[in-house]
Amino acid sequence: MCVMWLGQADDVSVMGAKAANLHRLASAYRVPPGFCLTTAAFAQWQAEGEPDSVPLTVQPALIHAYRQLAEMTASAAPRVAVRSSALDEDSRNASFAGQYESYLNVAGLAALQDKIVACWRSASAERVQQYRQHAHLEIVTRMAVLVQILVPADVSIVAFSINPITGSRADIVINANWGLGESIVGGLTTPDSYEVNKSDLTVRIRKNGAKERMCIVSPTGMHTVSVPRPMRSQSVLNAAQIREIAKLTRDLEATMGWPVDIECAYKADTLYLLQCRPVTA
Amino acid sequence: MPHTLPIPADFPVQWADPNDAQSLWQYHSTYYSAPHTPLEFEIYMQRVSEGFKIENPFFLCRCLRLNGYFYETYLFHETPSENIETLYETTISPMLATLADKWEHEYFPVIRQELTRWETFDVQHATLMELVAHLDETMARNTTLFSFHDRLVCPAILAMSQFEDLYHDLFGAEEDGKLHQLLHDLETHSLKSARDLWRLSRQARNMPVVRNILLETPVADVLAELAASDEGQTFLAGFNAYLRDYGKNNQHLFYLTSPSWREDPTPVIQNLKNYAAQPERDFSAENEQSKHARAQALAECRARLADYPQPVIEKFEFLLRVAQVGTFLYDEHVYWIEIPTMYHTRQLVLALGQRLTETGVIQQGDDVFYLTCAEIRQSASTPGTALHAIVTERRAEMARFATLTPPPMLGTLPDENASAPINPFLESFMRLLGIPLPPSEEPDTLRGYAGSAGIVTGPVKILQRPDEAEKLRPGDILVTNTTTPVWTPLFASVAGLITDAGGVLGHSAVVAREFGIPAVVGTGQATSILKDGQIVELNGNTGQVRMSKNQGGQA
Repeated sequence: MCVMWLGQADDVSVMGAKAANLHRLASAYRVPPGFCLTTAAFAQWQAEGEPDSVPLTVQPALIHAYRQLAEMTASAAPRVAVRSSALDEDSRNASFAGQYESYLNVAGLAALQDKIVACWRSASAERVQQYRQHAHLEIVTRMAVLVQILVPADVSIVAFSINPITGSRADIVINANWGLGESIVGGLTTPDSYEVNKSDLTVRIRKNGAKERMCIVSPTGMHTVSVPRPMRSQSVLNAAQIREIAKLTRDLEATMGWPVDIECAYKADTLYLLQCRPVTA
Repeated sequence: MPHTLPIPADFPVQWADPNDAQSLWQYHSTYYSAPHTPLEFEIYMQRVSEGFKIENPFFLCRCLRLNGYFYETYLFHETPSENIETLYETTISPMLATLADKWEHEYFPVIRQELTRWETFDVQHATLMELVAHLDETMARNTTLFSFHDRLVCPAILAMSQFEDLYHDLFGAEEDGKLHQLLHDLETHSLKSARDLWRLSRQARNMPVVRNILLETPVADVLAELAASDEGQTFLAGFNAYLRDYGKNNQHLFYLTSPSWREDPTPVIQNLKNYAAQPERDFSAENEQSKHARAQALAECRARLADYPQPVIEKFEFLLRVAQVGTFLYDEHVYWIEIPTMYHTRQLVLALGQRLTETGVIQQGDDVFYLTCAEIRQSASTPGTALHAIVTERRAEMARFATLTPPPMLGTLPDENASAPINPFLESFMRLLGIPLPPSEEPDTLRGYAGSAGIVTGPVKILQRPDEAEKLRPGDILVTNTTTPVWTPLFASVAGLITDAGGVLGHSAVVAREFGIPAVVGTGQATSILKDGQIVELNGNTGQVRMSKNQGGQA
């Protein structure tokens, strides 16, 4: 099976850790719909000598899946995020976060196939090999690619179900900024931050961040822009939203059974879960 | 260290309240060049200051009359940086969000009502006692009307400057031309008065006798000459209709002694003469073009914002709307506040002057301006006492004051090492006034802000007051310290504008854009460096003025 849907697949071992996590969550949480090109597809591509296009045997399933996304979103060429999902990524002991490629705002079959191949190629890249050698893992790479509807976020959030600085398990820590989550994850600016009591979801500390820059979708994927000054001193989240995020974070920790580091986003009033990984020690 | 300014020997000051010496008092020669009589100060200037304070979360102001001159001090409220977010949330944002609504449903109806009370009071036939009662009412009304002034102007300034910041951050600072296009096409009374006068001038050009009179006859004789012919009388009908609409206007706002256009239409005739000499220009067509350009600029902005987070798009639309309202009110409020308060207060004082002349208290109508309120009330309640000597003394005193050079600042300068108070309104206001730029590094070049697009070359005319409009010739580039609404009609008589003071959102730049003439504002010293008749190249796109070696020499 070359293509598997989040929330519907039955064999997570071929989806890669990132996709597997999201798949597990897709049935109970609002995860943007998406599908995975499994490790089988990658293996097929490798066997054919790593060509510039997606193998012919994989294409029909891919086209069909993208068309289904189109129907779901009532859009002819839905905008998707194409991300690597390696089998060892996001596991509890090593986080390869940021080591592989990810492409945002990909629209149309041609661009989609292009980016899938690019993700596959990155798996072969030498730097990744070196990282793996450093982390004492076997050299054989097995890769899946996650294709997911892109949420052009109004506000993005990174939340921890424990305090990452102090280690306190009584805290939920939330960072938020305008636009896509890359500005927070990539450390491009100081986001708003909140420390919330896990027990009753009340806000204990709130700090308004400088929020000088944000990431937005662009025709080429994503770019970083200035936050208009009148919006920098404004809180990006209101009280109800902080509460909703804190509750989601707490629930996820309970569901997964370990402290979580999540990425989520608001588009209008709807909160989407984008990523959920274990907090690395 | 706070620094107490020395009091000049020729400008003695006794602080009535010794604490006043601790404040910084400022004299603005552009707005208040001449001394005020005690009456002007009491029934008008003090009421203005009082009005400004009402419901003002940004500053307190007070005024003093020192050797006849109007001095004011501002105390700006400071907000600690950790409270700035709250200030925006609880005060500034709601103020901006409700501006249009409050103007339409709260302030304007009250203003209209107050003006109607003045308009329906018959100053000509009221008794002296009735006029005195009306005087108290008028003072209170002035305070009320000026209480709306800063409730309009402060949010207007904040909105314009916030929109400017947002626009720069989203689209880059090089796009100022488009930013201003979005705030364009003001339908204010002051602009309408200039356009209506222009229309009259075009009519005049099509009437040979009238045209000739306007182009050849000195200002003082124009009305008499027009009345001498049928064609002229037809034209006069239109001219008088114009004065009925706009006659309350005044060349010197804040001076009750200055006649309104209705009483002395000389400034209007001068502007009409200047307009008649200008080449053809289709303001309607230009207006249409400008509306089209604005719609296009807006569509472009919206397209560029399509991929931005929705809150950013909403903020853009919100600040655009409020900035548009703010730009409108920044000009329009003068028609509803400064002009009618001046006019009606003056008409009342003149009527009082007439009565008091009839009863022998004073020798001529004008003398009334030299009496105090208390003396006027006294004369009404206990008639018979002549106040001729007091008037003579006060006139002499005012004549002496007029020879003085008031220092721009008195009192105490704040500690120069202390940081400026954090006050968002103050910051926006300073930008409006035009933060001085460093001088140009190029030779023979003045540097300022690009106030209005376009490039024009021509001779310079330096004017200190709009009354000097007779100096203007077609093709001249007007150079002045700064402009106020009183200068608006002159903009259609010149090919370009250069100012010492002001930023791109100030009056000079906004009106220059409305008239489609290039402007460079905030040059710092154009009025001292340039000479009348000097040929310059004004570049309103880059904010540069290139001076040629040719001195011109025409006065």
